[in-house]
Amino acid sequence: MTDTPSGFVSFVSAGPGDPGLLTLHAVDRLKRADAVLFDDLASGPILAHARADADLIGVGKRAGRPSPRQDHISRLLIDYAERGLRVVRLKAGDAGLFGRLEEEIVAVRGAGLGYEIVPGVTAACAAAAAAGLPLTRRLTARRVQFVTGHDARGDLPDDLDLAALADRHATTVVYMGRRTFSRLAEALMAQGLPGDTPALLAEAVSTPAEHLTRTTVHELALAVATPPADPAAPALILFGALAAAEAVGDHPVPATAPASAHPPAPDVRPGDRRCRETRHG
Amino acid sequence: MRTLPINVRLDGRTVLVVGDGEAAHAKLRLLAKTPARLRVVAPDGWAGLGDWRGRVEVTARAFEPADLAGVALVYAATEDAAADTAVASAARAAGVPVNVVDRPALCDFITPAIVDRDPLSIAICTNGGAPVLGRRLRARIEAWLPQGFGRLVDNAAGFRDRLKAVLPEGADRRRFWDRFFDGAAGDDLLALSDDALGARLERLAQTAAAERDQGKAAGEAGGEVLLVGAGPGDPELLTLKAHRALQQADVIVYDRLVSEDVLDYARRDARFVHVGKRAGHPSWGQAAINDLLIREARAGNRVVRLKSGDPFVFGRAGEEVEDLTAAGVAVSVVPGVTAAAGCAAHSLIPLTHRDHASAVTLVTGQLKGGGAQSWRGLYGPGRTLAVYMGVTTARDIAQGLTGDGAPADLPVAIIERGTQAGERRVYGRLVDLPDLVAVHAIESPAMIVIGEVARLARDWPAEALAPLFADAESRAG
Repeated sequence: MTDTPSGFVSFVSAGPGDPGLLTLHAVDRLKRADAVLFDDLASGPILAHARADADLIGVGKRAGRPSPRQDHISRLLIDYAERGLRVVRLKAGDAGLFGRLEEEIVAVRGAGLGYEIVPGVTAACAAAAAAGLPLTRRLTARRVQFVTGHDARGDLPDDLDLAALADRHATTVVYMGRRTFSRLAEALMAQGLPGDTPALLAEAVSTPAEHLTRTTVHELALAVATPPADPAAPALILFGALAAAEAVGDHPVPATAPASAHPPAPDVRPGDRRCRETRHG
Repeated sequence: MRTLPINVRLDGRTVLVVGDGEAAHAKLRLLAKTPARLRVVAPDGWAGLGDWRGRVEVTARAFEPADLAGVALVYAATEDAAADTAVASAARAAGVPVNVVDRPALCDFITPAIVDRDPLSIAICTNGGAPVLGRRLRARIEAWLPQGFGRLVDNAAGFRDRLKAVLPEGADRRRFWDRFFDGAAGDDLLALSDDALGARLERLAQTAAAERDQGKAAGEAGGEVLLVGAGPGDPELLTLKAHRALQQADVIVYDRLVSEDVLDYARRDARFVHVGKRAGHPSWGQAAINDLLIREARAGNRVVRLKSGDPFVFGRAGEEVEDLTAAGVAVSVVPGVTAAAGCAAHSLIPLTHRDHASAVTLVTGQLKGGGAQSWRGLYGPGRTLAVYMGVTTARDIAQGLTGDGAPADLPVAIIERGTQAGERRVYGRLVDLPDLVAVHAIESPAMIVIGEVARLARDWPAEALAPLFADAESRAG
């Protein structure tokens, strides 16, 4: 916007994938953005909310790999914002939960630019809603813990508190943890977590490719040894009390409200440097 | 709202404009789009009003109070302060609503900026505070709203009686219109001719009637319950799906944790049922709430059960889902932004951090149905703890965690009414948590974030980790 004296960066949570799970606040920021930087995890129809003349830039950070281009992303954010433009940095799920904002925030702060974080629906909540499984439940699941299955090196973090993760009165959600789950499960079972603890593998939650698999910790540890059909598809692992698994039985509730009428998705390929020319209209 | 927007019928009624300058012409241009009879009183008569021959009736003299006889509205547009004031006083004495151009203080009513898609109209009013802003907003809406929109309204209006015959139930008709206008989000409906629109309406109505009959045959009442996450409080943190569910609800069931602002985003004609604790009302038990949801859904209603934050994080939605499923009621869950995510984002606290936190635990300070929360095993380096409903148990939390090895000076952030108007943030050390709550009179709802990441808050004070009562005496003085 030309009447904005200095640029501004909005770290916007894109939610788990379903464009209907964007917040009104996120839509507002997308509509006003001059430039949108997105990962492959957070693209598709969501970008249709951006203005037709906004720059859409895929920065293609992929889960499970180190990101050598981090400097490049920070540089882009600052370049746009320093030109007085409004920049949206779109992040999958909730940006504050494993969104890896730290480098970009340090860069934006260092450049003296203003920023905000727009919170969103994290994938765990969407997976729970889709499966009809509450994340907490009185008496049986008194807390829920979110951990990552891969740290900055792409490996299982060293500082995981295995005793806490093996607690049967908690629901545990492992983000980006499919590749390392065999090792995690082994360590947890050594801590006393029963192998038949209920588990849920939630792939591509809230998207048309959503796939939910009810299993156990032991069985899942065996199953993940086989590489998935689409290694890039985001996967979430839930295990623990999962109280409703028994109570609701085998009748998961349907995911969410009926399909919504959203504008068609622009044809944007992750990694495109600039997708403006591919947009409709 | 300081003023009430209403639309005034003007067929067969008279509107008087006093004056013949540019201001008067501007008002006449607007009024000429309505079916009102227009009268102008101006000393020079037609001299200044030639353009309006045939549309207005002119009296060529100065204004007199008698001119107000039989007038519905009057505009004072003489561009002379004394003359305009005289018109305003006379109008007030005669009980005729008056608008004095450019003098909001003298106005009984304000003419808003208008987007005209007859019969649809959108009024934008800044109550005289910033008319330029109002006009800019209007320009944006003008650009966004296709010109043919009014025709869509006319076609819908023309179909209402027919639809009543096909779908006698109000709820069925509401669903029909939702479906019809959902299609209108693409401009595709606007491209259709009137005949084609009529055919589409008829076909959709027949489909809806057939679906209703099939549903009845299958023994379904057609009702459903949506457990909807309302987010942490700021209504802008509703998801699009939640917003849509609120707009389409017949019944909305909520409790005190859901912010009033969120309810403002709901369909105004919905029935609102407050099932939380309120002074002077008996509290609803979970069983009574479940019964209500089942009863309303079986009556064919679209029921929204609003839950603060995300329904499946400390929302006790699990029990509601079970009961509804057992009763054969269709249930779906719309996830929401949980309070920890919302409060942390507003404070610019990342819940996870490469260097400080690879795990986050969400925990409640209060266990409903008795039993103390165990604080053992919750603290660890590299972990963030987000405590929901922890205000009344702040002492247990601090003692439990420090007793389990957490450092006394672990950073904590207390976020009261997070994301809502009146949000307050208080920072300090874990060991001081109960005193921070007491000194700042923190009230529920509040989120307590415990861990190194709290230090990254946007307004983390440099002295936050100093003992709270080190300077107790000077503070008391």
